[in-house]
Amino acid sequence: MTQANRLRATAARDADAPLLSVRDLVVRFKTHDATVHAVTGVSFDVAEGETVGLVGESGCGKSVTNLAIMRLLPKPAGRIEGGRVLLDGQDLAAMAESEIRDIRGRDVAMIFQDPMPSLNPVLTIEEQLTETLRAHRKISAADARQRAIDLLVLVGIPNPEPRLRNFPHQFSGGMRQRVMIAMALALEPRLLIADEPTTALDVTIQAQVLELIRDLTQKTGTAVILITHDLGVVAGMTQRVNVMYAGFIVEAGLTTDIFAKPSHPYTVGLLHSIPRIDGGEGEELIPIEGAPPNQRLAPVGCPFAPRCAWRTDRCLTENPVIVAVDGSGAAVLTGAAATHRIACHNPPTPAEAAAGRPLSGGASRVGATGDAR
Amino acid sequence: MTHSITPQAATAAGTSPLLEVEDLAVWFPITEGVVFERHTGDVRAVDGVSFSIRRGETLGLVGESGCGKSTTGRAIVRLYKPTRGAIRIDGTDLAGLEGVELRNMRRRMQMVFQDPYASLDPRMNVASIVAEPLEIHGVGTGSERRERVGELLSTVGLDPSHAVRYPHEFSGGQRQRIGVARALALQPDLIVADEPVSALDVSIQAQIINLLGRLQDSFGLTYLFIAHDLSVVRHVSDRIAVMYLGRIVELATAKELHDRPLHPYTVALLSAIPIPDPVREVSRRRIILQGDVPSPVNPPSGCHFHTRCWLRERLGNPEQCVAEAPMPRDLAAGHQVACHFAEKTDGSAEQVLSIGRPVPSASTAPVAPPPTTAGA
Amino acid sequence: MTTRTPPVTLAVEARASRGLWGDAFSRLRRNKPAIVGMVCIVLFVFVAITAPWLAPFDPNKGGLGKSFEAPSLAHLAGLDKLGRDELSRVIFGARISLLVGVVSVTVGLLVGGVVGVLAGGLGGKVDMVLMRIVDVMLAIPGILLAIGIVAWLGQGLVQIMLAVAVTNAPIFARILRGSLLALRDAEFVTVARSMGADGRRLVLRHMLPNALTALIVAATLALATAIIDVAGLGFLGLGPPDPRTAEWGTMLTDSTEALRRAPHLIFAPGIAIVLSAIGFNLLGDGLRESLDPRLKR
Repeated sequence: MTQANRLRATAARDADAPLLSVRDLVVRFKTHDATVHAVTGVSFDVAEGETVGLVGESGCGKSVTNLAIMRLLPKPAGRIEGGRVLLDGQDLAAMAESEIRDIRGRDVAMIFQDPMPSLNPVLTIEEQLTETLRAHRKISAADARQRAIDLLVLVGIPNPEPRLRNFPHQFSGGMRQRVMIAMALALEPRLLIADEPTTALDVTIQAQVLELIRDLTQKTGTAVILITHDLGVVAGMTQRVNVMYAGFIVEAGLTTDIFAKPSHPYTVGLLHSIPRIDGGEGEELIPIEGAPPNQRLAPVGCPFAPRCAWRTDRCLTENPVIVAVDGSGAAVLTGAAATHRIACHNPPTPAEAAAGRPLSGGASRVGATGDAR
Repeated sequence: MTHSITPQAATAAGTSPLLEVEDLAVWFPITEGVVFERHTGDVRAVDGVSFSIRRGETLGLVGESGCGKSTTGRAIVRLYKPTRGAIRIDGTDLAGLEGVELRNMRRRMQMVFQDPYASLDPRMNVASIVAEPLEIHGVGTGSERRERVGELLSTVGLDPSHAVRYPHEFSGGQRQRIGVARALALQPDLIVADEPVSALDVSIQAQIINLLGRLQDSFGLTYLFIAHDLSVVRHVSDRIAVMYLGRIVELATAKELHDRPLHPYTVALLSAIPIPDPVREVSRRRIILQGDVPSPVNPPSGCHFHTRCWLRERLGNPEQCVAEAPMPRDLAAGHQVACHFAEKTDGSAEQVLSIGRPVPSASTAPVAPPPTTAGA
Repeated sequence: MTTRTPPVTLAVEARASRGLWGDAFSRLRRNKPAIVGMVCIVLFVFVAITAPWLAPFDPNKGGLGKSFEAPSLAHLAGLDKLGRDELSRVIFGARISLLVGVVSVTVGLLVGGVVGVLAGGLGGKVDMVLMRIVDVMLAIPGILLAIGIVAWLGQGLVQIMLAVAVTNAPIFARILRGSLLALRDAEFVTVARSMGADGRRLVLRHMLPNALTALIVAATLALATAIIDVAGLGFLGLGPPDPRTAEWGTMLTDSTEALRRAPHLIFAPGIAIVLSAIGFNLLGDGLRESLDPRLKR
């Protein structure tokens, strides 16, 4: 499975190049009267066995990034307009449709928020599981069936044999997500993209499913991109996080660094705008005023500037590039020593980050947002 | 103009209950056949729920999907007719009211809905949407209503000049503000907020939560706040009722429920909530409930939770849980639990796990960066 | 947006709305097939209204000596069996088609609309009884129903209108009822109920305006079928009783009788029927796409 990796090792940097390397990805959607700047210059790496979070709100481009990696953007509106998506040094963005089809499922698998549309309602679970297996591997029907049973056992579905003959609608939401995970892991992919895998589930069921994903991927060494809006889920599941806003990565680094020392005003804002179950009595919520920008307009300046309490004149005209928080030069992108990076001209101080608002008498604050809109 | 905004709360004693719900049940019949319908069963969405809310108080109603929390809220504003039980506002029972009397009582309670996209009529502009309750109840003249709409829009933080716009021109958070303005139009005493922030983006949720809090302070509103997210409910509520499969399993003050959960289900629910703190998340152990919530058509006998209960399992599966439905018991002042063995939860390892170590008062202070876990 | 300097105002959306109908119209204007359709319809209506001035000849004046004359500069579409100018007759025929189309669809809308509102608004037993009646009517082929009505009540313009209206009404009723039923559980309707709105208000204020778009589309498309139905009845010899009346369907029948001698006669009425029907069809499809405010992009 790693021959391709070895062969291309020379083309890529060295033997321990990351499994996935997304570089300057640009995705736009063209409708008849507008262009939506969905993703603008996103770069990140995922190493073997790592779990990386893509965090942001709806419309921030986290799901579009994932669809672009899988080349599943809705056609003809969505297009990759720039950048590379290197899996073992092979550029998925430049691949022919027939080649990418082999990669999907075998090397990269996906699970979605709502498993129902991804399961065929008129086929039994057995048919769907064995179909995936036999499409990519030469195995007998009996072996495929045995493997399907093993997979259901793996994802914790009781009575797997009779359950194989069931149709998707006969499963509960949590069970369906388990079936989806079984299908995604059927071919032992090296990368699993989980797009809001538990958002549609109740919190006790979410706990079941998250634990399942964590156990299975740790056991198999599968790398995971976890896409979610839930900071709590990210905190417990990932080693590294990329925070996205309006199509840009605005903060990236180790999960522990980002939660301990949030440094981008947006991340700071997110952490202060949700009540925490372990928070103190009478904890104050500091909302992020306004709403995300209209992505039909080409981005000018920092995308977060209009909502930012730390914005300066410069923020409105010049989009900051993402650099190391401590100002050091070369950035480490993967692993336990990953550099904590932000894209911000005027980052909050640690004290301001802790308070959730500018402290220095609002010297840097321009204009008043108040509670308006 | 009759709309001088005066908190009605001021007129009544601060502690008298505004809303009393007693043994409320809402069953939806299941029928078969087209012409000759046969009654084959019931979905027992709500099955014997009792609580009360004082004036100016916020009661949180929390639970997972299908637990009956939304149905309870909708039965209170009489979108559903209760199968049995009483819903009293200031002593007047709504459960049996019809026609004009019901309509008059409806002025006193309004609802804020979950989906800010579906709950606004796409063919009406904001002015008509916000003025509709006034129109329905024949309050004010045309120009008075217009004035009131402008006032309401500024109250919820919207520009009154946007009244001529249509819902699709607004973002989710702005739409929810429109929904709140509409609910305020008749100066109700009680607002039933059914998942008012769960359809909104994280950064917008706090805007609406803070708005609701501010409005409560200014107008002396009483809230029934229904949500699945215990963190949000805990933040906004004075007291919290936890529902499971049509019944309230635990009811206590927000602080008490958080510091000393006594029902095994509440304990599991608390432990399942992810905390945005990787250090705590890694060290935390969860109580993973097995299986799914059973069907409300055919709920388990006795205690509805007995099929998934970790406590029952630990106690060697006592028969009492299957045989006998536990009645709510007062285990501390104002702390009711419907569990035969709630005392066994207190002080258990699970209870400690679910609430974690005592929370330092400066919870927002940054935690010192720990050594990286599992240095892969 | 080019000179963004602080303070930034957090505007709603830069683009102001011209109201729901204004927005729908601006979307419609970008829909090319719909524009083609509208051009056809405008032409059709214009011709129908200005027929007495537009037509080069009296549609009823002819001369036996000149029957079946081929098209010429004077008579662009030739002359018919009785030596009447075919083009002038087609121009006057537009009046019949327009009149019958508009009147029958309007009547159909009124009847079907009332039935639909009663069924969808009240539901229950009323709905069941009304819908079974509609089912029975829909089970009979439209043209058969129309023939039956004309055969029963005799030939005449009113009968034709009635026949076309009767075939359309159950379709409208069903469409409206379906939309209303879907809207009954819409959240904004529940909201209005929670505020104490009565049934009449729910139906008239909230459900009906939202269900109307489907009906407008259906009515536009029905105009196309109405024109074809009228022509069909005329073609079957059930057209207006006065043989002098210029009606496209009847003209088509007449032309087929003389297909060998004067093949040119089939073109003018044929093209007129096709163009007007396609016009309404294209507009109907365009309306379907542009009337939904949620499609706004």
